[in-house]
Amino acid sequence: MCLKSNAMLWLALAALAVYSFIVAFVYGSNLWFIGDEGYYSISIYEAINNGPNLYITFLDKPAFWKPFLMVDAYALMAQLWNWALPPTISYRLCSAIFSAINVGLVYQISRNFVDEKKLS
Amino acid sequence: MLNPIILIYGTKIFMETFAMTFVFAGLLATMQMCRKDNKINEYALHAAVAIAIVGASFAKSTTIGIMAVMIYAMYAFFANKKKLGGIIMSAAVSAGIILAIPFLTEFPNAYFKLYMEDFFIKRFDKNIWFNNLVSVIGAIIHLVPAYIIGWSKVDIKKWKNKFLLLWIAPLLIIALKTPYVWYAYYFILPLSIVALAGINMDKLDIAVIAALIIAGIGTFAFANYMHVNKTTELKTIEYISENVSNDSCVLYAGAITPMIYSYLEHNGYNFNIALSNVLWRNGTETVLDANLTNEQLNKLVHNYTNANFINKLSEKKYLFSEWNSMSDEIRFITENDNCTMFDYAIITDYYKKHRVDGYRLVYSDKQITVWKKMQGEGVG
Repeated sequence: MCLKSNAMLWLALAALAVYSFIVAFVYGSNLWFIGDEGYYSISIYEAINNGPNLYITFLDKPAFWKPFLMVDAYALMAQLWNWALPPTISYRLCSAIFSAINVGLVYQISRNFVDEKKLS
Repeated sequence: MLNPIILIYGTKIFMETFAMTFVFAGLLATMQMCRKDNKINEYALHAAVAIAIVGASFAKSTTIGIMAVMIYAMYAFFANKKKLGGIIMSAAVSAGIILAIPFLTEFPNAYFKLYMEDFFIKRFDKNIWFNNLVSVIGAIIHLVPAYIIGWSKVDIKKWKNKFLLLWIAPLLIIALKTPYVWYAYYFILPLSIVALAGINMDKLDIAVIAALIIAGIGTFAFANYMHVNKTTELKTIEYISENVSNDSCVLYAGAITPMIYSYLEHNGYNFNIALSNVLWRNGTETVLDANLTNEQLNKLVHNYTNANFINKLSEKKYLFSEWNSMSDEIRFITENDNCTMFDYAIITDYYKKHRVDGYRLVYSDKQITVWKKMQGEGVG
């Protein structure tokens, strides 16, 4: 059961990789903002310029439509990597890193459930 | 030099990803805590659970924090009831932190309003609810073949399967209220784990499931591509760059499109922004209603500084999404005093149907119109 199920997990991950490839291929150089995305982009941009805070800002005004952590974390990470990497990479690395962490966490959680011996 | 704003995209899915990192890490800590042979310090695991709840709450919303608490408590209930108290204690500590944070800012009331908004917000709009429901179903539909094969062999009497199915319960309440597509992200894991346990890995099953999954996600990518192709921001920027000089005075009204905003900002345009509450209520181009009248829009264009709308920037301490209100107020007006007599008015989606008196339409796309002041009326 364990080996078979692990194989299925790898299959699912491979499918996700194919999906990512298709998305990257299809979107290419297209940039897009949909709905609230753009407001958060501006808030993150301001956090990069003005430093982290316990609330987000929008056009330099305190704004309370989302908590602060996502905006501050993105801004701090982007600034950190901006020292060594071009902005085209450093500004996208935050999403890539947390997606990768989540793949590992999802794999571990799934393995614990699928493998009978892993749970007490 | 690339403008950073146009590099920061995918913020919404990053928010979900970031929040789920905390939710998943907290679940792993809970699973470890509930193991009978656990050798990791229990206080450290309790702290990890509390951090996960706080992190999930501040990464996205308190709803996600509460969802995490429910998942951890359910797991402890099924796996090891003795640990339920520890989970409740961690939740209590994290709740204390979440309630204390607002007092470290100047705006505790706004913070508590934000907490409450997540639970009592009225987002049930018939125009967008059905679209969103379809998109949620669409987001998981490519996994249905795997689910059908896997679920048929699941032993529902096993506690882990009961837990995984109950994991979805709090999500159903959220989904019925606000079925935004990104909530599918939260559904996929438990549903998939249940299915995995029941799948026999003979070659035919693998081939069929893999083909259907790849076909499903390929369809998605294509649908998204078609959607992106419809975006008008780049075309509008192209028009502005070729036809609107950066010493012009520009009004930018409606829903803010950051690429246009970014272009104006970083190319030294002289401009003011006016946003209405409709923007916050809906936030997508699918919405049909606009509550700023043609008359009000004209008043805004022709008498910006005295447009008698209530919430001018100088009178507001902070911005908040007035999701429930349908008043005629403009919720946000910037105050660039050097630009109040507009040469151009860029009008985005909700007001697109309106006409601006004394201006002629020089550009029109699906979501955006650009109006130019007719000659002979003077410019500011």
